Amino acid sequence: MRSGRLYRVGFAIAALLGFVSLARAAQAPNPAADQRAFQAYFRSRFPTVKLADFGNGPYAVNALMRKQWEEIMAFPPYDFALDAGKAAFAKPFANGRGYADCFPNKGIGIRQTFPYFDTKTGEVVTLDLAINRCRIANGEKPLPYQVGLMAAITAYMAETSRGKAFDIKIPDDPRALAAYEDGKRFFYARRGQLNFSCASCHVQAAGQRLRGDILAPALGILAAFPIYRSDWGSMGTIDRRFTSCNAQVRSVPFAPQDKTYRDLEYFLSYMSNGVPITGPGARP
Amino acid sequence: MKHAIILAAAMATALSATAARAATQADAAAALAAALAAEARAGQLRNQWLPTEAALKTAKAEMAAGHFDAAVTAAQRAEALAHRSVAQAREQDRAWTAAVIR
Amino acid sequence: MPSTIRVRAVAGDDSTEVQALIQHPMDSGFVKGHDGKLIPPHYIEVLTFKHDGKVVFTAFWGPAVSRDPYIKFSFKGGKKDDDLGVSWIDNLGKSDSSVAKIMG
Repeated sequence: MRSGRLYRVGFAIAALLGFVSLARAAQAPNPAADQRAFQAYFRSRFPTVKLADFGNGPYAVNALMRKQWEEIMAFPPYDFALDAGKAAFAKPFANGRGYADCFPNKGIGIRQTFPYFDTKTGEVVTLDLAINRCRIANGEKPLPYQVGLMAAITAYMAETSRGKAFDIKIPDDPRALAAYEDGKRFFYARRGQLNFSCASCHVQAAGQRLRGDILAPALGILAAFPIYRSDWGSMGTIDRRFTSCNAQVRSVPFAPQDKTYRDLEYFLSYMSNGVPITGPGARP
Repeated sequence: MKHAIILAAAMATALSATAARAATQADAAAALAAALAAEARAGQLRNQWLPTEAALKTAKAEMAAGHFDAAVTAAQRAEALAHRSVAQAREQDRAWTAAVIR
Repeated sequence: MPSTIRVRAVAGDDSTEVQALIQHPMDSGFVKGHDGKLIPPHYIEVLTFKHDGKVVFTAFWGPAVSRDPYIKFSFKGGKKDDDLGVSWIDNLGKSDSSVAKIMG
């Protein structure tokens, strides 16, 4: 009896210690552990889907949609944008320089390294933002985000990076960790009159139907951007997706390339490290 | 029983009193100001709702058109929605951690 | 200006299957733009496919056809490396044409 009681007390202490260490782990940001848990969750949720296939969003988790998509891919609807993007990328600015001069490796095959944390300015830099900064630095007007030429140019840059796995790094900088945490918080916090978070659809309900659509798993969800959405009838960038998702849950969206959106992109892309770029994509 | 009847009578008088009095421009302006203040708080927490914005727009339009009753109704709706969005932001400030994949 | 027409034709045993995608706004004339004004009608009226000097397919399109339309059909005849001509003309008189090689 006595030993049994002692055992129970010991167990309680051990449990308490375990709880304390767990609570501490939850407080200190640990992106690498988050990433492992995030990928493990989706791998066990969709055991037949390979990590590399998560970049295909709903088509990775729904066989019927995949079949339709394969037919559509005979004539990818983003083809026209791809041509326009390639032409715009190659066309020099008024000062004779071009987009290629602003990026490593002349802008070819680098999509998977975006967004990155710029330790000089202390902020997250996305591909879209880098393109516009390149334009401003060369005396050109910035492009509007979300649609049009911006979507076309990012489509071309993504296409040259196809098959290269997301390789997002979080430098040893408290500001980088803060940006990561901000994005993570936005991903999981509910907002809008409908009280949805990003995770409500793309984690809890991933692979299920939202009306006629299949919700893409959050893992690898940005690998296909920019996308041609048949619903939109045109191309759209990550900003277009973020703002329209926010509006759909009846929350006032932020401006494109708002700090929080960039942090969210940083978090999501880091979670998807190892998933190859599939963009530009086609979605229903 | 007696108390209940008195209470009901009191409520009926109170109701008819408010219903009888039409809202003035000052009432509408006060309701709109309260709604705008609440929405500004939601803005500080970066959690404004689209229906709040829509109700505010309606309230402003009704006020400009001189429909003060309708302006008050819309402004009160906007204020209530803004309060809900503020409450949501404060609640989610902690609650989001429970949804994190571990 | 890159071509607005994408064609893929594959010759089978006795017929050729053709798929085409055409870039065109196909504005019906009933939709309002961001400025609240009607977007003027602008749509393809006639689409023609020619093989060996003969018209093998004609489509009379109108405002009800979607933006960037896609079409798929097959015709009797046609063999590998034959030319297949495609052309369209819209209600504003604009047009485009392209020639594709039939694949085996």
